[in-house]
Amino acid sequence: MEHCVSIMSVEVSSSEGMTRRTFVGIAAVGGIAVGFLAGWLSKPAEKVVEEVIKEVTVTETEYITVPEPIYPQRRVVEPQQGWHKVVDYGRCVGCRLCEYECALKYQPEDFQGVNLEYSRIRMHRFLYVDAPIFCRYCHLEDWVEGTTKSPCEYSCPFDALPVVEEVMEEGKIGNGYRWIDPEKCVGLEECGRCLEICEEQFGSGIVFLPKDDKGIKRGAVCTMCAGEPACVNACPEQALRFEPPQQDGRYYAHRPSDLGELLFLKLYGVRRNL
Amino acid sequence: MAEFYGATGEILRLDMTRERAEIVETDEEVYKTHIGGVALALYHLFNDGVVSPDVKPFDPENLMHIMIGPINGVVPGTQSVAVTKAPHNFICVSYSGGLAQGELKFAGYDGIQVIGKASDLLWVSVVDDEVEFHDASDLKGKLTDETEYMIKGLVKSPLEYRKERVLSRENVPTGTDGYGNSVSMWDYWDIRSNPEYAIGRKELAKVWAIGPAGEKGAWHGNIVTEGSQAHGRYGSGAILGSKNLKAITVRGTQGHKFYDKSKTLDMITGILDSQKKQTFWRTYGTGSLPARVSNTEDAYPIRNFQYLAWHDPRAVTGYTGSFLDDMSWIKHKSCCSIGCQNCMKTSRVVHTDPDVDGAITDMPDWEAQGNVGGLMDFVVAEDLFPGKTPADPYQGDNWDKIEAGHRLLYVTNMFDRLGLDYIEGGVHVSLLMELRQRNLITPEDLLLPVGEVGDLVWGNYKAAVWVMNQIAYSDDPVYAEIRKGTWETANYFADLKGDPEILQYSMTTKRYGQPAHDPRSGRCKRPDEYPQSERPCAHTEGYGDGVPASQARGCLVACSFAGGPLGGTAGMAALIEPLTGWKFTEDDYIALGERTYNLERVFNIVTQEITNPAEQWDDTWPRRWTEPLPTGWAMGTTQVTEDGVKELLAKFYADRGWDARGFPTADTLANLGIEYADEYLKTYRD
Repeated sequence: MEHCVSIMSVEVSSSEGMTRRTFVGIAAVGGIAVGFLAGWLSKPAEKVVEEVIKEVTVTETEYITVPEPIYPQRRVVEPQQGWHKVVDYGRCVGCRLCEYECALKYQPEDFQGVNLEYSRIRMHRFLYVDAPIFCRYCHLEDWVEGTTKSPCEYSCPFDALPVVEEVMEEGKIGNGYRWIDPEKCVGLEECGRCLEICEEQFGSGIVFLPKDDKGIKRGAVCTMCAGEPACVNACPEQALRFEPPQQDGRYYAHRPSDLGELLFLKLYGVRRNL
Repeated sequence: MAEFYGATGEILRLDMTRERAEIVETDEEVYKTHIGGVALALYHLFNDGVVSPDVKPFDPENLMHIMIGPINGVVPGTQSVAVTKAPHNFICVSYSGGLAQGELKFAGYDGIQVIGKASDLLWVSVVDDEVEFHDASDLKGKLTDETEYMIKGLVKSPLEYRKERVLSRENVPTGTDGYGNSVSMWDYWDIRSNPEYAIGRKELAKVWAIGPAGEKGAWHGNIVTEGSQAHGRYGSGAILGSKNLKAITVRGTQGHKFYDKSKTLDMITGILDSQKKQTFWRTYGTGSLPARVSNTEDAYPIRNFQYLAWHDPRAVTGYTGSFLDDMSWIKHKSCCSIGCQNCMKTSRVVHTDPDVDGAITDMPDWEAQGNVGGLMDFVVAEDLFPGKTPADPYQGDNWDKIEAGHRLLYVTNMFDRLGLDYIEGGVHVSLLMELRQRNLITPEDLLLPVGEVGDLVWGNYKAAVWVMNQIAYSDDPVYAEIRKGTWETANYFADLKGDPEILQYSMTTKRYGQPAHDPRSGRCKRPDEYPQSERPCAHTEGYGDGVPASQARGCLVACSFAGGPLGGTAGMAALIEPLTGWKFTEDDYIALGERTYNLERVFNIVTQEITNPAEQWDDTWPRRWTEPLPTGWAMGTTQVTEDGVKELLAKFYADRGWDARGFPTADTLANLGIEYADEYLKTYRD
């Protein structure tokens, strides 16, 4: 659909000897524009308005076509290896479209609707602050902790959180990103060590899915959609970006409530006085 | 029970007296005609006998609803609606955005009913089918945002919560560090660990809370979510307060089920695509109205509706979306469950007054710009421009405009935090200001500490906030009267002073405060809109044949700002079938609206025992509307006459199938399938 508006050129000359000026006003009907001038100014400067109205003449009317607004959206054009998701929290509005797209992509196909519990990115809202929480791809430092593995991978007794090099499922798993192998994961009730270490020291990036048909709450982690994350493509506000990493994810993995306070300080410049 | 899609077929009933939760199941045939939201709540109000005049608003028997409809969940552009018998003894139907409504669907409910009265203040957590009642004594008197902040993190889904720790030094792997020492992650454990629980950092619960005003029973106390989004109108918070329920926290994990998944997902995509292009909402939303529309339409409520425009258009700059954006808006905020077009913006105040400085709120939207900023007139404030009125040329500079904007933000924020409706609240405080302007009351009548906060003159935000605090906290008998809102306050002072003139300054229709729209100039509202609206003095109901469509929206429950397929009746009606599987056409949609509207009408007539609705109920609009305007484009004129309103109403009654006194006829109700309403109505009509 295209909208049409009329562009009206109006010439106004002042009786006090000023040079001729050209105003361009946009209005559906020319009369309204003249009416606005008269209405706004009538009392404080009645005399001047009378003069202006007399000398307004419509010299030319033309129609131009204004295309529909195109909303800018950041898209990942091809799968990338080793990149990170970065959030511009000042732009995030908490619309949860990232969650929605993720859940649609990863929920069981036979689920008759949408369940956001299957999303690996969870939008947290802490009173005026919106913070999407997802796996930050942290890794440990071998000169301090004796390994360069991720803490979740390191603490998993079943080796269920491997980095998958080959693409296993087109657009979902692999390409050098991590996943949780549902064949190996025994679930939160039996184990849950990965989430425990993640929540205690890192960013609560692992989610636990609703019980599957065997009654097990298995973990899930952001697989970056094998390098082409659906959440980044879904974000209408350009708040999520997909970029080569600047530093290890552990330095920007904060516990959700801590992150909420950090962002409140940053965005509003005051401490929360609650 | 048949399997439900879209809706869930279950309403959660919280019995506060017994501190127990029950499930209310409603027949699917009722769902097909009432859909959800307002109509379903009204069905229960009628069938549980709450409509009867014997049930008083603050009785434990009064039934409070927070309802959602089949589209709430993952469809964009949704709201929840609070439905109950309002403190004023009429129907309360009050909408709000927020994330809690979607969460309620994920928990598996079409709404929450609250009945009874707890012995002490409680708050309730709902996690799917687990409902707990918690002691709220430490929340007593807390502001709405404080309350939300304190309890939000306490509610977790069992999916992500565990107290016992499985990790230990023994089972965390050990490596060798750069110095050759044996190390493990465990060494860093105690720095950040929380002994309370091992797992439970995600904070995904959503909260509805009332403020101190609701606890005290202020008649315009509201239910607030996310600090500043409110079921604002008609005192739903006071009813919740009367049941001793401070807050409801919801967390749901069951998702939103559709009857026809692929068709529903297509419709959601259509709504999202359309909303991404809504540039009006995405930039300033209703915040852009003051200069663009309202002041030029002569519809800006100023100084208790004495003026409808600052005659000098420069005056309104400080209240305009672009000015407020540049001055204080920090970021945009989505207000509904999924994919909202984010017409809300958060904002921050920087001010030399330490009380005002650092206030964080959202927007303000147009109603706040009108009913807080305009009615109290921070623009031509008495302390900045002594003796000036909105008719005079504006003499302020940039800093005066900033001051006006900041006062507006701060006072709006205080309304939200105290849990007060700022539409009615703005009319209420500005009534007191006008009574002071005309010297009809004294500061002593309000117990006002003039030396500390100044007199209650136009633009004095300190005195206004002082009065609001008394409404929310004071135990003084004077404030027990003033707490009842605009109309009752006017009556109280009219009795106290023996001066019936005071009543004419109460800018209320059907005993409730007027929103920031006025019919006098003829460019903003039609004069019959407020008298027609069964939600007393509501500005979102449309007029004439537009009324049913807007009522049906409240059954889905859709946001009135939503775009695309949600923007018109055809699109909204088309949503129902793929979501629920119930056959539903556009005609059904209009019939649903008529049904809802007639139910509201019957409710209001029965509960107030009205014998002539046309005179006792509809003819209660403020006669200030017939006085010519003192400023603006329409200066010296008014479009409203007594006869004109009567004529429009008579046509409206005929179109609705009502008799000349404004009673729905038995045939009309039978045609709409709501004979149960006629059982109550016929004693008053016949």
